[in-house]
Amino acid sequence: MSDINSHRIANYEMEVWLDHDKKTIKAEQRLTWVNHSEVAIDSLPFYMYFNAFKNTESTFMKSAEGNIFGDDISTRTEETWGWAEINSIVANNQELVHKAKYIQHDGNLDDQSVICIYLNESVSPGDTLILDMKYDAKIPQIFARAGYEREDFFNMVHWFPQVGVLEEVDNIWQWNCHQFHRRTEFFGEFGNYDVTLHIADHLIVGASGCLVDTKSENGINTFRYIGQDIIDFAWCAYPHFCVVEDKWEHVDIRLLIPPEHSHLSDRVIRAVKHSLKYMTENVGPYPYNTITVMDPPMLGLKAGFMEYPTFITIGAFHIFPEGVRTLESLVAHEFAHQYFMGIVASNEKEEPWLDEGFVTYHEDKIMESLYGEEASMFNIGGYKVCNSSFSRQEYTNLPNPSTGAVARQGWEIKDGFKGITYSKTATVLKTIEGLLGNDLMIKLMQKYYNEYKFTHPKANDFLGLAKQFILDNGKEDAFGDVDCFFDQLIYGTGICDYAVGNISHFQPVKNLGIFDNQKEKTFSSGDKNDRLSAKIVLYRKGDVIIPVEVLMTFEDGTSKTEYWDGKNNYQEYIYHNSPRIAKVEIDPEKKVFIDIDFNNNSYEMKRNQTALLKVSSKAMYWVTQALQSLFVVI
Amino acid sequence: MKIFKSTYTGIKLGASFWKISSIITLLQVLLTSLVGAAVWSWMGDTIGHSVGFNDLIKGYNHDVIQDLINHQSAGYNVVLKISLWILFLYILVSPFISAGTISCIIEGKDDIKLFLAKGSSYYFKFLSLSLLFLIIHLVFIALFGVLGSMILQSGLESYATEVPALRMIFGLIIIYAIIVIMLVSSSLIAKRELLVNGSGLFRAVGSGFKFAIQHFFYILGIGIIFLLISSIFAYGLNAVVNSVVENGFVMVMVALILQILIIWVRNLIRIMYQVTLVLNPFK
Ligand SMILES: [Zn+2]
Repeated sequence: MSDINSHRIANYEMEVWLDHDKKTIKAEQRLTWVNHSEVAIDSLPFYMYFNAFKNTESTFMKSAEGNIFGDDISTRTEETWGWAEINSIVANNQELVHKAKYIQHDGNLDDQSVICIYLNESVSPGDTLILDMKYDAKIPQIFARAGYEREDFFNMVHWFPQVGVLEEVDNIWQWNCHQFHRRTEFFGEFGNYDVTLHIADHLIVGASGCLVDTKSENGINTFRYIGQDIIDFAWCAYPHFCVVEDKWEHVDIRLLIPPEHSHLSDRVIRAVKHSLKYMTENVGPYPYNTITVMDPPMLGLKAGFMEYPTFITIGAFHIFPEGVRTLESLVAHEFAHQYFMGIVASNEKEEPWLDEGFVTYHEDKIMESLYGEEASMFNIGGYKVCNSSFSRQEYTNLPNPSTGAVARQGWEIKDGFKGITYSKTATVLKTIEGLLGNDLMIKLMQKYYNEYKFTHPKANDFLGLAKQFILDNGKEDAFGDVDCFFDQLIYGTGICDYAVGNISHFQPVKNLGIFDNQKEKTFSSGDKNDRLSAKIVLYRKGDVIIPVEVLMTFEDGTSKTEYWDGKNNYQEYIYHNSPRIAKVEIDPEKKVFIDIDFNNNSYEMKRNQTALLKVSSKAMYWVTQALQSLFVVI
Repeated sequence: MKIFKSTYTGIKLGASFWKISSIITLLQVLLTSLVGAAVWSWMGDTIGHSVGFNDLIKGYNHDVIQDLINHQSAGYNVVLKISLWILFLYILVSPFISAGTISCIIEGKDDIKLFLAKGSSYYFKFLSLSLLFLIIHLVFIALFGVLGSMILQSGLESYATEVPALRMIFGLIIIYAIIVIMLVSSSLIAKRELLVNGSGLFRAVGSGFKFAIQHFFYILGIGIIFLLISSIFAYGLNAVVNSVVENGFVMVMVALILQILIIWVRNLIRIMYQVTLVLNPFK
């Protein structure tokens, strides 16, 4: 690939030797780093991810609170812990290792997941620093994602000393390099990776980037991978992988799947290809030549469900019915991360919603464009669920949907990580789609991609762009107060709930009673009016204000659409000389997808007895079937 | 083969007990119509007037059902509770059904009066027997549940793949099915002992187990044949019900009638099974 896409600020050349028996690596790495700032730099912080798995005092372990994925860490033996140690750091022929110090900007003084390297000579703006490092690392048995498992399974993610991101915040250039927290992982600088791996020849290897060279000598295979314009590099190894290769346009797809899952290969490959197609057509071009998908065996499941540049991990199971498409959905999700985090590289540690929320939204779009909007996620035994409904329910089913705002720093999230960060964000984006229309929403995402690809956008970048886009396209009426719209949904914790209160009809009487008529009091018997007046009462039960359309349908078949700005909690409409109301629907097209209860959005005067008969008889049928099956012995 | 001959005879004779099957169906439907009524009032009162409710006529709708459960959970809990109570009530009703059915089978009469008379007069004897078998069955369920979770836990930890654990679980399910077939057969033979020989409870249970063990393969064979028949039948007719497009009152009624028919045929198949074992050739 020859196009230069990113500024290539942090470029790595690495040579790594894996000792699969001792579960260690020995490595040499050269970092070529460009000072893209306007200030001289005399120190560089590096992520030392493996030290998160060194002991229980690391920030990662402390935030895990005793168990990770249900695993009790108190029974861990010595050889299962991991660490990384730099032995040599050379810049300008000067050894700097003695000056390196673990730093704890995030507070925990016992943490060693960030190390700072102090230079003898500072790097001027525009200059390039070459830093040669030698380090050893003990690979942990997987706590989460990174590490080894039995049978020589290795998932090498977040594994090498990686330089932090130098960024300008409020006109001040500063490093952004947080400790490794339990829930936050990605914020890296773009660059090229040239990685040579020396690995025993019984292991089948997969990695980020393109494989450009292989050699075999004395039972050791040497693989050279090159990855361009990426923010991280990951690799894996396992002796029993089946390798499935395919191609979509310019992209080589490589699937590493254990034999017991290989019957699912076609499903995975189809999902990868469709994800590539959808994201290319609706967000922006996929700028890389490869995508590697690793499905871990059951013993390495904790390595699954993750995303790294041009390398994703999934999680299949031997029995996976066709109608349960969580496998395809997972592929779509992890692939969408190539765009949000990989290319549009927001700070997942500080603003995870820009990453996971945008990805969940696109996961839903990919799945619904492939399998239809009725049953994209589940279609089994009459149980039909589409992805966007599933995401919405993950949010609305939270014990407390107001537990926190969408915009929260990753390590602050104690509750509703999935339900808010992923699902509420996706539902907010689906609401924006509803209010903008699908075509404009695609244009908005394309604009976001084009303006922020290979950079590190922040919330305000997206929000500013989205608000301007709404104004430019004359859509502000649909959103009401555009600033308020985003404030409520991104920074607020309120819920959105519109409801039809009641509908009544009355016969208005006019001119009835005693009236003063030329100094005399006269009685008037009133004007008769055969036609009715209809009164409709609507409520806004939640705090969130979004303008909605209200569709009134009358008994004579005519209808009228009202526009309610939603500002008051109470709204009434009165129609004089009107036919009787047949039904009232707030937001009939479900544009405001964030509404927490759709059922109360409408009221039909005539109850649907047939539907009632159907569901009641079904309930009766199922319980009878249960009676017949459960008590066979008596 | 003895197994096929008795099965054939069982099916042939059993098919004539359509009145008994009808009265059992009626009892079951009466009981479960309480659940139907609870669902009717819950949904009718909460979302009956919602436009979204109409979507349920097309089938399951995740938004409608989940929003309903989320925001109207009180009624949902009532439906769940009523369903559980009905399952419990059925434990009390089934000895009556068994006593009535098996008496009619023994006397070779598809006679509702006889069904009701024998059902009442042998009720308490059958109730004790049923409870005893229910307890034995529950013990096995608990045992297999524990075994299954142990296999899953240790299997997933100690093997590289999930396949061995899945195979073991599959094996466990087969063993469990065999045990259930043996329990159902022993229970039936014991019930016959109670009716024909007027044996005491434990004596009847003893001879039930003795017979089942002595004729293990015969009983297993018949059990498997009927399991297959009812599975194929249930699968087929459910497919028919699912294929009915319930888009209006008429089609909803057609589906309802079909559903009741399925319940009725399942009861008839059970009677055929009982005929096969109760009127067995091993005297
Ligand atoms: Zn994700």
